[in-house]
Amino acid sequence: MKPDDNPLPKLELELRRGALVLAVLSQLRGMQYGYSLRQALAERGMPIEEGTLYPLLRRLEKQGLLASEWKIEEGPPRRYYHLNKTGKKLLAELTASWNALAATMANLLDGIDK
Amino acid sequence: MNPNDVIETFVIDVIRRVPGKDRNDIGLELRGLLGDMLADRAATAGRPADDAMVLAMLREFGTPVEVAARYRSPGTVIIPAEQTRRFALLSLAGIGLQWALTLPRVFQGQPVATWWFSWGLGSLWWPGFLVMMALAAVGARELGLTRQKWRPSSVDTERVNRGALALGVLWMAIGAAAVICLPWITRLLPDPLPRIFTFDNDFLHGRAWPVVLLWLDSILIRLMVLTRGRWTQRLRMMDLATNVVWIALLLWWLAAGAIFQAAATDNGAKAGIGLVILMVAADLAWKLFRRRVHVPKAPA
Repeated sequence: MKPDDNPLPKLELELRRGALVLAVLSQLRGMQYGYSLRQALAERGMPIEEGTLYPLLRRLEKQGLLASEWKIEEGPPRRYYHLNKTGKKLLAELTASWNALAATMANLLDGIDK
Repeated sequence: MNPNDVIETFVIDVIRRVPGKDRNDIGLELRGLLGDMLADRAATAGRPADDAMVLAMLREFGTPVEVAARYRSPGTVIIPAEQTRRFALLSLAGIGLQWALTLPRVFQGQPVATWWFSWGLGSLWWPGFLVMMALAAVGARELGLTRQKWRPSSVDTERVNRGALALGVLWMAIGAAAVICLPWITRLLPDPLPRIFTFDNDFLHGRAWPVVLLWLDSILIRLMVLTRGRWTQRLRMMDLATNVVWIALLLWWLAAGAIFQAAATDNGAKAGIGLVILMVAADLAWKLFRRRVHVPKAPA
Protein backbone atom coordinates (compact mmCIF):
# COMPACT_ATOMS: atom_id res chain seq x y z
CA MET A 1 0.00 0.00 0.00
CA LYS A 2 1.43 3.41 -0.99
CA PRO A 3 1.54 6.04 1.79
CA ASP A 4 -1.06 8.12 -0.08
CA ASP A 5 -3.40 5.14 -0.13
CA ASN A 6 -3.66 4.99 3.65
CA PRO A 7 -7.41 5.36 4.22
CA LEU A 8 -7.09 6.18 7.94
CA PRO A 9 -7.00 10.02 7.74
CA LYS A 10 -10.02 10.09 5.44
CA LEU A 11 -12.00 7.67 7.59
CA GLU A 12 -11.09 9.57 10.75
CA LEU A 13 -12.24 12.78 9.08
CA GLU A 14 -15.56 11.15 8.23
CA LEU A 15 -15.98 10.00 11.83
CA ARG A 16 -15.30 13.48 13.14
CA ARG A 17 -17.56 15.05 10.55
CA GLY A 18 -20.45 12.97 11.83
CA ALA A 19 -19.93 14.32 15.33
CA LEU A 20 -19.34 17.93 14.29
CA VAL A 21 -22.88 19.26 14.67
CA LEU A 22 -23.18 17.84 18.16
CA ALA A 23 -19.77 19.24 19.10
CA VAL A 24 -20.72 22.71 17.86
CA LEU A 25 -24.12 22.65 19.55
CA SER A 26 -22.49 21.56 22.82
CA GLN A 27 -20.35 24.69 22.87
CA LEU A 28 -23.18 27.07 22.08
CA ARG A 29 -25.01 26.76 25.37
CA GLY A 30 -23.38 30.14 26.03
CA MET A 31 -22.74 33.04 23.62
CA GLN A 32 -19.86 32.43 21.23
CA TYR A 33 -18.69 34.12 18.07
CA GLY A 34 -17.18 31.99 15.33
CA TYR A 35 -13.54 32.40 16.16
CA SER A 36 -13.99 31.92 19.91
CA LEU A 37 -16.12 28.85 19.22
CA ARG A 38 -13.40 27.41 17.00
CA GLN A 39 -10.83 27.97 19.74
CA ALA A 40 -13.10 26.40 22.34
CA LEU A 41 -13.52 23.32 20.15
CA ALA A 42 -9.79 23.11 19.36
CA GLU A 43 -8.88 23.35 23.07
CA ARG A 44 -11.17 20.38 23.72
CA GLY A 45 -9.62 18.27 20.97
CA MET A 46 -12.08 19.00 18.17
CA PRO A 47 -10.26 21.31 15.72
CA ILE A 48 -12.41 22.56 12.86
CA GLU A 49 -11.55 24.61 9.81
CA GLU A 50 -12.93 28.13 9.80
CA GLY A 51 -14.17 27.61 6.29
CA THR A 52 -16.35 24.75 7.53
CA LEU A 53 -17.46 26.28 10.81
CA TYR A 54 -18.98 29.52 9.56
CA PRO A 55 -21.22 28.00 6.88
CA LEU A 56 -22.26 25.35 9.44
CA LEU A 57 -23.29 28.05 11.92
CA ARG A 58 -25.36 29.77 9.25
CA ARG A 59 -26.99 26.47 8.29
CA LEU A 60 -27.87 25.66 11.90
CA GLU A 61 -29.33 29.14 12.30
CA LYS A 62 -31.41 28.69 9.14
CA GLN A 63 -32.65 25.38 10.53
CA GLY A 64 -33.98 27.30 13.53
CA LEU A 65 -31.58 25.86 16.12
CA LEU A 66 -29.47 28.95 16.83
CA ALA A 67 -30.10 32.59 17.55
CA SER A 68 -27.52 35.23 16.70
CA GLU A 69 -26.84 38.89 17.28
CA TRP A 70 -24.17 41.34 16.23
CA LYS A 71 -22.09 42.90 19.02
CA ILE A 72 -19.37 45.49 18.91
CA GLU A 73 -16.99 45.17 21.81
CA GLU A 74 -13.23 45.18 21.27
CA GLY A 75 -12.23 44.99 17.64
CA PRO A 76 -14.53 44.48 14.66
CA PRO A 77 -18.26 43.74 14.89
CA ARG A 78 -18.85 40.09 15.71
CA ARG A 79 -21.81 37.84 15.34
CA TYR A 80 -22.53 35.90 18.51
CA TYR A 81 -24.43 32.63 18.30
CA HIS A 82 -26.23 30.68 21.00
CA LEU A 83 -28.72 27.84 21.22
CA ASN A 84 -32.39 28.82 21.17
CA LYS A 85 -35.12 26.74 22.79
CA THR A 86 -35.38 24.33 19.85
CA GLY A 87 -31.60 24.03 19.74
CA LYS A 88 -31.42 23.17 23.44
CA LYS A 89 -34.08 20.50 23.02
CA LEU A 90 -32.28 19.05 20.00
CA LEU A 91 -28.95 19.10 21.86
CA ALA A 92 -30.51 17.04 24.66
CA GLU A 93 -31.94 14.54 22.14
CA LEU A 94 -28.73 14.30 20.15
CA THR A 95 -26.72 13.84 23.36
CA ALA A 96 -28.95 10.91 24.31
CA SER A 97 -28.52 9.44 20.81
CA TRP A 98 -24.76 9.94 21.01
CA ASN A 99 -24.53 8.24 24.39
CA ALA A 100 -26.54 5.29 23.11
CA LEU A 101 -24.37 5.07 20.01
CA ALA A 102 -21.17 5.34 22.06
CA ALA A 103 -22.39 2.52 24.32
CA THR A 104 -23.28 0.38 21.29
CA MET A 105 -19.91 1.02 19.69
CA ALA A 106 -18.09 0.29 22.93
CA ASN A 107 -19.96 -2.99 23.09
CA LEU A 108 -19.12 -3.81 19.46
CA LEU A 109 -15.47 -2.86 19.80
CA ASP A 110 -14.98 -4.55 23.16
CA GLY A 111 -11.78 -6.57 23.17
CA ILE A 112 -10.43 -5.35 19.81
CA ASP A 113 -7.38 -3.58 21.26
CA LYS A 114 -6.55 -6.40 23.65
CA MET B 1 -1.08 47.27 0.11
CA ASN B 2 -1.54 46.70 3.85
CA PRO B 3 -2.89 43.42 5.25
CA ASN B 4 -6.36 44.86 5.85
CA ASP B 5 -6.61 45.90 2.19
CA VAL B 6 -5.70 42.37 1.11
CA ILE B 7 -8.41 40.94 3.40
CA GLU B 8 -10.89 43.49 2.09
CA THR B 9 -10.13 42.52 -1.52
CA PHE B 10 -10.56 38.85 -0.62
CA VAL B 11 -13.87 39.48 1.17
CA ILE B 12 -15.23 41.47 -1.77
CA ASP B 13 -14.24 38.63 -4.10
CA VAL B 14 -16.15 36.18 -1.90
CA ILE B 15 -19.33 38.17 -1.29
CA ARG B 16 -19.93 38.94 -4.95
CA ARG B 17 -20.36 35.17 -5.37
CA VAL B 18 -22.97 34.68 -2.63
CA PRO B 19 -26.71 35.54 -2.74
CA GLY B 20 -27.39 39.29 -2.41
CA LYS B 21 -29.40 39.01 0.79
CA ASP B 22 -26.54 37.30 2.63
CA ARG B 23 -23.71 39.53 1.41
CA ASN B 24 -23.60 42.01 4.29
CA ASP B 25 -23.71 39.32 6.97
CA ILE B 26 -21.14 37.09 5.31
CA GLY B 27 -18.88 40.04 4.53
CA LEU B 28 -18.90 41.31 8.13
CA GLU B 29 -18.42 37.82 9.49
CA LEU B 30 -15.53 37.03 7.13
CA ARG B 31 -13.77 40.32 7.87
CA GLY B 32 -14.00 39.61 11.61
CA LEU B 33 -12.88 36.01 11.21
CA LEU B 34 -9.93 36.80 8.94
CA GLY B 35 -8.90 39.70 11.21
CA ASP B 36 -8.94 37.38 14.23
CA MET B 37 -7.02 34.69 12.38
CA LEU B 38 -4.39 37.19 11.25
CA ALA B 39 -4.00 38.63 14.75
CA ASP B 40 -3.60 35.10 16.06
CA ARG B 41 -0.90 34.33 13.48
CA ALA B 42 0.96 37.57 14.20
CA ALA B 43 0.89 36.84 17.95
CA THR B 44 2.18 33.31 17.34
CA ALA B 45 4.94 34.59 15.01
CA GLY B 46 5.83 37.37 17.45
CA ARG B 47 5.85 40.08 14.76
CA PRO B 48 3.30 42.39 13.15
CA ALA B 49 1.21 40.99 10.29
CA ASP B 50 2.55 41.72 6.83
CA ASP B 51 1.51 41.02 3.24
CA ALA B 52 3.29 37.67 3.08
CA MET B 53 1.59 36.51 6.26
CA VAL B 54 -1.88 37.53 5.13
CA LEU B 55 -1.38 35.99 1.68
CA ALA B 56 -0.21 32.69 3.18
CA MET B 57 -3.24 32.69 5.50
CA LEU B 58 -5.68 33.39 2.68
CA ARG B 59 -4.16 30.69 0.47
CA GLU B 60 -4.69 28.17 3.25
CA PHE B 61 -8.21 29.47 3.80
CA GLY B 62 -9.20 28.76 0.19
CA THR B 63 -9.89 30.67 -2.99
CA PRO B 64 -12.84 33.10 -3.00
CA VAL B 65 -14.71 30.66 -5.25
CA GLU B 66 -14.22 27.81 -2.76
CA VAL B 67 -15.14 29.98 0.24
CA ALA B 68 -18.29 31.27 -1.47
CA ALA B 69 -19.24 27.69 -2.40
CA ARG B 70 -19.17 26.72 1.30
CA TYR B 71 -21.85 29.30 2.00
CA ARG B 72 -24.14 28.11 -0.76
CA SER B 73 -26.62 25.35 -0.13
CA PRO B 74 -25.97 22.25 -2.23
CA GLY B 75 -27.64 22.64 -5.63
CA THR B 76 -29.98 20.23 -7.33
CA VAL B 77 -28.27 17.33 -9.07
CA ILE B 78 -29.54 17.14 -12.64
CA ILE B 79 -27.59 14.10 -13.76
CA PRO B 80 -26.75 11.80 -10.84
CA ALA B 81 -23.25 10.35 -10.69
CA GLU B 82 -24.43 6.84 -11.57
CA GLN B 83 -26.02 8.15 -14.77
CA THR B 84 -23.12 10.33 -15.91
CA ARG B 85 -21.50 7.57 -17.96
CA ARG B 86 -24.75 6.69 -19.70
CA PHE B 87 -25.42 10.39 -20.37
CA ALA B 88 -21.96 10.85 -21.88
CA LEU B 89 -22.34 7.74 -24.05
CA LEU B 90 -25.82 8.74 -25.25
CA SER B 91 -24.63 12.28 -26.03
CA LEU B 92 -21.57 11.13 -27.94
CA ALA B 93 -23.51 8.41 -29.80
CA GLY B 94 -26.19 10.93 -30.82
CA ILE B 95 -23.66 13.45 -32.08
CA GLY B 96 -21.63 10.71 -33.76
CA LEU B 97 -24.70 9.35 -35.56
CA GLN B 98 -25.70 12.79 -36.87
CA TRP B 99 -22.16 13.47 -38.03
CA ALA B 100 -21.90 10.05 -39.67
CA LEU B 101 -25.11 10.68 -41.59
CA THR B 102 -24.26 14.25 -42.66
CA LEU B 103 -20.49 14.32 -43.03
CA PRO B 104 -20.55 12.39 -46.36
CA ARG B 105 -21.98 15.58 -47.91
CA VAL B 106 -18.55 17.17 -47.42
CA PHE B 107 -17.01 14.38 -49.51
CA GLN B 108 -19.67 15.04 -52.15
CA GLY B 109 -18.50 18.66 -52.49
CA GLN B 110 -20.26 20.60 -49.71
CA PRO B 111 -17.82 23.10 -48.09
CA VAL B 112 -16.62 21.98 -44.66
CA ALA B 113 -17.57 25.38 -43.18
CA THR B 114 -21.15 25.02 -44.45
CA TRP B 115 -21.39 21.57 -42.87
CA TRP B 116 -19.77 22.74 -39.62
CA PHE B 117 -22.13 25.70 -39.17
CA SER B 118 -25.20 23.60 -40.03
CA TRP B 119 -25.02 19.94 -38.98
CA GLY B 120 -21.60 20.02 -37.33
CA LEU B 121 -22.51 22.47 -34.59
CA GLY B 122 -26.23 21.87 -34.99
CA SER B 123 -25.82 18.28 -33.78
CA LEU B 124 -25.09 19.66 -30.33
CA TRP B 125 -28.84 20.12 -29.87
CA TRP B 126 -28.90 16.47 -28.77
CA PRO B 127 -26.93 16.77 -25.47
CA GLY B 128 -28.93 19.95 -24.76
CA PHE B 129 -32.15 18.00 -25.33
CA LEU B 130 -30.94 15.24 -22.99
CA VAL B 131 -30.14 17.82 -20.28
CA MET B 132 -33.61 19.36 -20.66
CA MET B 133 -35.17 15.89 -20.33
CA ALA B 134 -33.06 15.24 -17.22
CA LEU B 135 -34.18 18.63 -15.84
CA ALA B 136 -37.82 17.77 -16.49
CA ALA B 137 -37.28 14.40 -14.76
CA VAL B 138 -35.80 16.19 -11.71
CA GLY B 139 -38.79 18.54 -11.64
CA ALA B 140 -41.24 15.64 -11.88
CA ARG B 141 -39.35 13.77 -9.14
CA GLU B 142 -39.37 16.78 -6.82
CA LEU B 143 -43.10 17.19 -7.36
CA GLY B 144 -43.51 13.53 -6.42
CA LEU B 145 -44.91 12.61 -9.83
CA THR B 146 -42.43 9.83 -10.49
CA ARG B 147 -41.96 7.65 -7.46
CA GLN B 148 -40.02 4.79 -8.92
CA LYS B 149 -40.57 1.42 -7.33
CA TRP B 150 -38.36 -1.49 -8.15
CA ARG B 151 -40.17 -4.37 -9.74
CA PRO B 152 -38.54 -7.73 -10.27
CA SER B 153 -38.14 -8.56 -13.92
CA SER B 154 -39.02 -12.02 -15.12
CA VAL B 155 -36.76 -14.55 -13.46
CA ASP B 156 -36.28 -16.36 -16.76
CA THR B 157 -35.28 -13.57 -19.12
CA GLU B 158 -35.39 -15.89 -22.12
CA ARG B 159 -39.08 -16.78 -21.63
CA VAL B 160 -41.30 -15.17 -24.27
CA ASN B 161 -44.82 -13.87 -24.39
CA ARG B 162 -46.31 -16.41 -26.80
CA GLY B 163 -49.26 -14.21 -27.87
CA ALA B 164 -47.07 -11.21 -28.67
CA LEU B 165 -44.50 -13.37 -30.46
CA ALA B 166 -47.21 -15.11 -32.53
CA LEU B 167 -48.56 -11.71 -33.58
CA GLY B 168 -45.00 -10.58 -34.42
CA VAL B 169 -44.39 -13.66 -36.57
CA LEU B 170 -47.71 -13.15 -38.34
CA TRP B 171 -46.87 -9.53 -39.17
CA MET B 172 -43.40 -10.57 -40.28
CA ALA B 173 -44.89 -13.17 -42.64
CA ILE B 174 -47.48 -10.71 -44.02
CA GLY B 175 -44.77 -8.03 -44.53
CA ALA B 176 -42.43 -10.47 -46.25
CA ALA B 177 -45.22 -11.78 -48.48
CA ALA B 178 -46.23 -8.22 -49.43
CA VAL B 179 -42.66 -7.28 -50.42
CA ILE B 180 -42.16 -10.57 -52.33
CA CYS B 181 -45.42 -9.95 -54.21
CA LEU B 182 -44.57 -6.27 -54.83
CA PRO B 183 -43.43 -6.80 -58.46
CA TRP B 184 -46.83 -8.33 -59.28
CA ILE B 185 -48.84 -5.94 -57.10
CA THR B 186 -47.33 -2.81 -58.70
CA ARG B 187 -48.48 -3.95 -62.15
CA LEU B 188 -52.06 -3.83 -60.92
CA LEU B 189 -51.73 -0.31 -59.49
CA PRO B 190 -52.86 2.80 -61.43
CA ASP B 191 -50.28 4.95 -63.20
CA PRO B 192 -47.74 6.38 -62.17
CA LEU B 193 -47.32 3.91 -59.27
CA PRO B 194 -46.00 1.02 -61.42
CA ARG B 195 -43.20 3.29 -62.72
CA ILE B 196 -42.40 4.51 -59.22
CA PHE B 197 -42.26 1.08 -57.59
CA THR B 198 -40.76 -1.05 -60.37
CA PHE B 199 -37.69 -2.94 -59.24
CA ASP B 200 -34.44 -2.76 -61.15
CA ASN B 201 -34.15 -5.89 -63.29
CA ASP B 202 -30.61 -6.76 -62.19
CA PHE B 203 -31.65 -6.41 -58.56
CA LEU B 204 -34.81 -8.44 -58.94
CA HIS B 205 -33.19 -11.34 -60.77
CA GLY B 206 -29.70 -11.23 -59.24
CA ARG B 207 -29.57 -9.78 -55.73
CA ALA B 208 -33.07 -10.02 -54.30
CA TRP B 209 -33.49 -13.76 -53.81
CA PRO B 210 -31.36 -14.21 -50.61
CA VAL B 211 -33.87 -12.09 -48.73
CA VAL B 212 -36.49 -14.84 -49.12
CA LEU B 213 -34.17 -17.34 -47.43
CA LEU B 214 -33.39 -14.89 -44.64
CA TRP B 215 -37.06 -14.17 -44.01
CA LEU B 216 -37.79 -17.90 -43.95
CA ASP B 217 -34.88 -18.40 -41.55
CA SER B 218 -36.06 -15.57 -39.23
CA ILE B 219 -39.65 -16.83 -39.25
CA LEU B 220 -38.57 -20.44 -38.63
CA ILE B 221 -36.39 -19.41 -35.66
CA ARG B 222 -39.32 -17.54 -34.13
CA LEU B 223 -41.67 -20.42 -34.73
CA MET B 224 -39.25 -22.69 -32.88
CA VAL B 225 -39.10 -20.17 -30.01
CA LEU B 226 -42.90 -20.06 -30.05
CA THR B 227 -43.09 -23.86 -29.80
CA ARG B 228 -40.62 -24.02 -26.88
CA GLY B 229 -41.97 -20.89 -25.16
CA ARG B 230 -38.45 -19.55 -24.61
CA TRP B 231 -35.19 -18.67 -26.32
CA THR B 232 -32.54 -21.36 -26.04
CA GLN B 233 -28.82 -20.79 -26.32
CA ARG B 234 -28.76 -22.37 -29.80
CA LEU B 235 -31.73 -20.32 -31.07
CA ARG B 236 -30.09 -17.13 -29.76
CA MET B 237 -26.91 -17.97 -31.64
CA MET B 238 -28.89 -18.73 -34.82
CA ASP B 239 -30.71 -15.39 -34.47
CA LEU B 240 -27.42 -13.50 -33.97
CA ALA B 241 -25.94 -15.21 -37.04
CA THR B 242 -29.05 -14.32 -39.06
CA ASN B 243 -28.67 -10.67 -37.99
CA VAL B 244 -25.08 -10.64 -39.22
CA VAL B 245 -26.17 -12.08 -42.58
CA TRP B 246 -28.98 -9.48 -42.76
CA ILE B 247 -26.46 -6.67 -42.33
CA ALA B 248 -24.15 -8.18 -44.96
CA LEU B 249 -27.02 -8.57 -47.45
CA LEU B 250 -28.32 -5.04 -46.94
CA LEU B 251 -24.82 -3.59 -47.27
CA TRP B 252 -24.42 -5.52 -50.52
CA TRP B 253 -27.71 -4.09 -51.80
CA LEU B 254 -26.56 -0.57 -50.94
CA ALA B 255 -23.23 -1.00 -52.66
CA ALA B 256 -24.08 -3.13 -55.69
CA GLY B 257 -26.32 -0.79 -57.68
CA ALA B 258 -29.93 0.33 -58.15
CA ILE B 259 -32.81 -1.36 -56.33
CA PHE B 260 -35.66 0.55 -57.98
CA GLN B 261 -35.72 1.94 -61.51
CA ALA B 262 -36.96 5.39 -60.44
CA ALA B 263 -34.04 7.37 -58.95
CA ALA B 264 -36.12 9.06 -56.23
CA THR B 265 -37.62 5.73 -55.07
CA ASP B 266 -34.18 4.15 -55.17
CA ASN B 267 -32.67 6.93 -53.01
CA GLY B 268 -35.54 6.71 -50.54
CA ALA B 269 -35.30 2.93 -50.33
CA LYS B 270 -31.54 3.08 -49.79
CA ALA B 271 -31.95 5.65 -47.01
CA GLY B 272 -34.50 3.32 -45.41
CA ILE B 273 -32.16 0.35 -45.79
CA GLY B 274 -29.34 2.41 -44.19
CA LEU B 275 -31.62 3.04 -41.22
CA VAL B 276 -32.54 -0.64 -41.00
CA ILE B 277 -28.82 -1.56 -41.02
CA LEU B 278 -28.24 0.81 -38.10
CA MET B 279 -31.19 -0.65 -36.19
CA VAL B 280 -30.14 -4.26 -36.81
CA ALA B 281 -26.53 -3.42 -35.85
CA ALA B 282 -27.73 -1.71 -32.66
CA ASP B 283 -29.94 -4.70 -31.84
CA LEU B 284 -27.03 -7.05 -32.49
CA ALA B 285 -24.69 -4.97 -30.30
CA TRP B 286 -27.29 -4.93 -27.52
CA LYS B 287 -27.81 -8.69 -27.68
CA LEU B 288 -24.06 -9.32 -27.61
CA PHE B 289 -23.71 -6.90 -24.68
CA ARG B 290 -26.47 -8.72 -22.78
CA ARG B 291 -24.76 -12.03 -23.36
CA ARG B 292 -21.61 -10.84 -21.56
CA VAL B 293 -23.56 -9.49 -18.55
CA HIS B 294 -24.55 -12.37 -16.35
CA VAL B 295 -24.88 -13.00 -12.65
CA PRO B 296 -22.60 -15.81 -11.54
CA LYS B 297 -24.48 -18.66 -9.89
CA ALA B 298 -23.65 -19.61 -6.34
CA PRO B 299 -21.67 -22.82 -6.11
CA ALA B 300 -23.86 -25.84 -5.40
